[in-house]
Amino acid sequence: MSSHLTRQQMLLHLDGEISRWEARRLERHLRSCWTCRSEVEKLKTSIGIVHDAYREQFVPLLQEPQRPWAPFETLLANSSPCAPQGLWNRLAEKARLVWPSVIAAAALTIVCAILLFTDASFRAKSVSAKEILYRVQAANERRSTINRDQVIRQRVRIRKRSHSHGRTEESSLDTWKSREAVYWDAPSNSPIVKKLTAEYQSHKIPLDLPISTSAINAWGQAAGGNPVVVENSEKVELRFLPATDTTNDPVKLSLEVHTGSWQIERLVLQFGDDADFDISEDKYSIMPMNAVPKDVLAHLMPLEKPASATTMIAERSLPVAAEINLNKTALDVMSALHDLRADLGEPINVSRTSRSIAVELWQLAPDRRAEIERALTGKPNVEIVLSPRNNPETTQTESGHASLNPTVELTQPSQEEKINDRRFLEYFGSLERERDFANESLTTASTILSHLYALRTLQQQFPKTQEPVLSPEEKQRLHQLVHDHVTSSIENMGALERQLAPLATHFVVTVPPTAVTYAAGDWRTDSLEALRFGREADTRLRQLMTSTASPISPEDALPQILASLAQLRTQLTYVDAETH
Amino acid sequence: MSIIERTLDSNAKHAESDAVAIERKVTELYEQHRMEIFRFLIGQGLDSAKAQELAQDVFVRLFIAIKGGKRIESELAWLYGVASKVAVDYWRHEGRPMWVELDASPALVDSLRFEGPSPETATVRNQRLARVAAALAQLPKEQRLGIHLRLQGLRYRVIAKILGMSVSSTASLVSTAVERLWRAANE
Repeated sequence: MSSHLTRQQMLLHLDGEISRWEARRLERHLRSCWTCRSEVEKLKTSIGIVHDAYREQFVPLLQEPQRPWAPFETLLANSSPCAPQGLWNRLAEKARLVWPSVIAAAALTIVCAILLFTDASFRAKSVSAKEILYRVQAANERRSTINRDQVIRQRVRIRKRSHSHGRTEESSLDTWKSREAVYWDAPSNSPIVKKLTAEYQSHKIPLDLPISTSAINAWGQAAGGNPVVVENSEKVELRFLPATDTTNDPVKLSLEVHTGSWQIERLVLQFGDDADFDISEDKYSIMPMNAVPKDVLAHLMPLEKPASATTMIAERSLPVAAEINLNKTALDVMSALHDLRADLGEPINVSRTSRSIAVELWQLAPDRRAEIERALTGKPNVEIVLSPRNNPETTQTESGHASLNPTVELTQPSQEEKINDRRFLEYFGSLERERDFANESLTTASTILSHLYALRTLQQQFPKTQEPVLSPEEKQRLHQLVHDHVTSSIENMGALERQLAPLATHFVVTVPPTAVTYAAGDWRTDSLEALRFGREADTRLRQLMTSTASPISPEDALPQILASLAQLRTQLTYVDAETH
Repeated sequence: MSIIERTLDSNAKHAESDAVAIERKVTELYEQHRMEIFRFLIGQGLDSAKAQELAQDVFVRLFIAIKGGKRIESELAWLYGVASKVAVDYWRHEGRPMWVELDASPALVDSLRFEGPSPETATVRNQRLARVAAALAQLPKEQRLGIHLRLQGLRYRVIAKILGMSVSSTASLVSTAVERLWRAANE
C-alpha cells in the first residue's frame, strides 16, 4: 500500500499549486485511497468554514476606521512637499528631460564596463584564502554588531554522517549571543549536539556562535594546516589540509562561503576517520532583549553588573560640592517602579553612573512611559532616558531571506508529543479547556519568575558591598521591597501548586524527596538560588504544556516541577528570614 | 517656438502626463482597496488609528514605487506584501503578541445574514463560525498572516515571497492554521 498524502500536499493540490505531473500522481492515489479521499473532503469543508467565518464573522466584527479617509492627492501632498525650484534646478530638470535616453545609455555603458572590469580582475587573479577569510570576517562583523539591548539568535542544522555505518543523523541547535554572554540551548536528548558541544569544548574553541569568525579561526588552528581554495560559480570552498609534520590525528575542516554575501553557509568538521559534522545555518536574527524567552535571557544577563555604569548616558552637570547618595536614589527609583508594578519584567533598564541613576524608558509604550516618567520626575539625581543610545534597528535581520521574514517554527509533533497530546485531551475533555489550563498555569509561572527577576534586579542594584553604607532606614526600605516580592512569589506558587494538584493526582505522580538546601546567610545568594529553582520549574512546565523539540511526559515533568517549587519555597523562606 | 523648445515642451508634457496617469491609477486603487488593506492590518492586530495611517502609507509607497520606475506585476499582491511587512515591523516594535480585537456587538451578530433551513440550524452554524473567527483572531501571527493572504486570493508563491519562506513551508503553515481552525469549529 502506498503511503498517504500529507495535509500540505492535499492543500497544494486543492489550490492548484502543483505541477500537472504531480497532480496526476495525486489523483491516481486519491482514486485508490479512501483515507486520503475522506481527508481531502474534510479539508475542503474546513476551507469552506474558514472562508465563511472570515467573511461573515471576522471581517464584520473588525473595528471601523476612526476618521474619514483623506483624498489620495492630500496624502501625496503631505508626503512629498514641492519646494519652489531655483534656476539651476529648473535647468537641471530640463536637461534631464532632454537627454534621458542618452544619459541612460551612457550610464549603462559605464556600469557594464565597470562590471566587466571588476569581474575580469577578480577572475584574473586567484582569490587567496587569506582574502576570503578577511572578507568573511568583515561580513560577520557587520552582521553581528548589536547594542546592549539586542540579542543574536543563530539556529544551526547539524548533520552527522558516519563513515563506518553510512548513516546520517540530524539535529538542530539554537544558540544566543548578547554583548556579555553566549548561550547554547542544546536539547537534552540529542547525542549529536552533545558530541559536537564536547568537541568544541575539548578543542577549547572560544564560546561563541557555532558559525562565527572566532569559531572558524579556532577550528582553522586546530586543523593545523593552510587552507586551499576550491571555487565554483557562486560559492567558494576552503579546505584546511593538515600540516605534513602532524603526528596526531588532526581535525579536518572545510568551509563553504557564498561569494555574494561572504557568509559562511556550511562548516564541515571531521574528527578522526569516523564521522563528519556538517553544520549549516538555518536562521540568523537579531532581536530586542524583551523578545527573548525568559529562561534564555537568564543565561545571557550577567549576574553582577558593575556598580559604575556605562559611559553611554549623558550626565547632567551637578554641583561638584554636592554629596550624592545614590543608594537612596536607587531605592527611590525601585520603590516608585514597584508601586507602579513596573519592576516585573517590563523593558526598563536601571543603571548607575557616577552621579545619577539612569532609567531607560524608551522601549515602553507611550502611555506607560509617561506614567513612569511622571512618577520619577522631580526625584533628585535621576536621569530619565527616553531614546535609545545606539539607535537600535527595530526590525530583525535574517540572512538568506527577504527583509520581511517573520520567525516561523514549523515542527511536526513527535510520537511522544502525540501521545502526550492524546492523554491531555482525554484528561481535559476538550482542547479549549486544555488551552485555558496551559494559559493559566504558564501565566502564574511567569508571574513567579517576574518577582524572582525583580529580586535579582534588587540584588544587582544593591550588592553586598553596598550593605555597610546603607543607613538603617535605607536597609528597611530595601528589605520591604524584597519582602513584597517574596510574598507575591509564595502566593503565586501556592496558586500554581493548586492548579497542578489535580493533574498530579490524575497521573499518579509523587514528589520525590528533595535534597536539603541550607541558607547561604545572605538574601542575595539565596534569591539567586530561588531564581534557579523558579527557572527549572518554569522550563519543565513549558516543556509539558507547549509544543517543544523535547517533549516530556506528565509522569516525568510533574514531579520535577513540584520538587522545584518545593525547593523554591525553601529558598524564599530563607530570603525572607534574612531580611526581617 | 523653436524645435528645442517644442521638444522640451513635448517631453515635459509627456512626463507630466505620465505622472498624472500614475496618480490617477493609484488613486483608483486607493479608493477600491483601502478598506481591504485597512481590514487586513486590523486583522493582524493593529489598532484602528494605526491601521488607517499605515494603510494610507502603503498606497503612497505604491505611488512612489511606480513613479520610480519599479515594475509591479500585480498591484494588489504588492499592496498586501507591503502591508504584511508593515504589520510585522509593527509587531516587532511593540514586542508583544498582537491579538486581534473583535468588536463583538450583540446587535451586529444578531443581524448577520444566514442561510439555512431553520433558525436553530442557522444558530448552530453561526456559533460554529464565531468559534472559528475567535480562533482566527488568536492564531500565531505568522499563521494568521498566511491564512489572511490566502483568503485574499494570493498564490502560495507570492505568499512565500512575502513571508520569506519556501512554497512548501508556506503550504505547511497554512494547512496547520486550517487544521487549528477546523478543531475550533468542532469543539
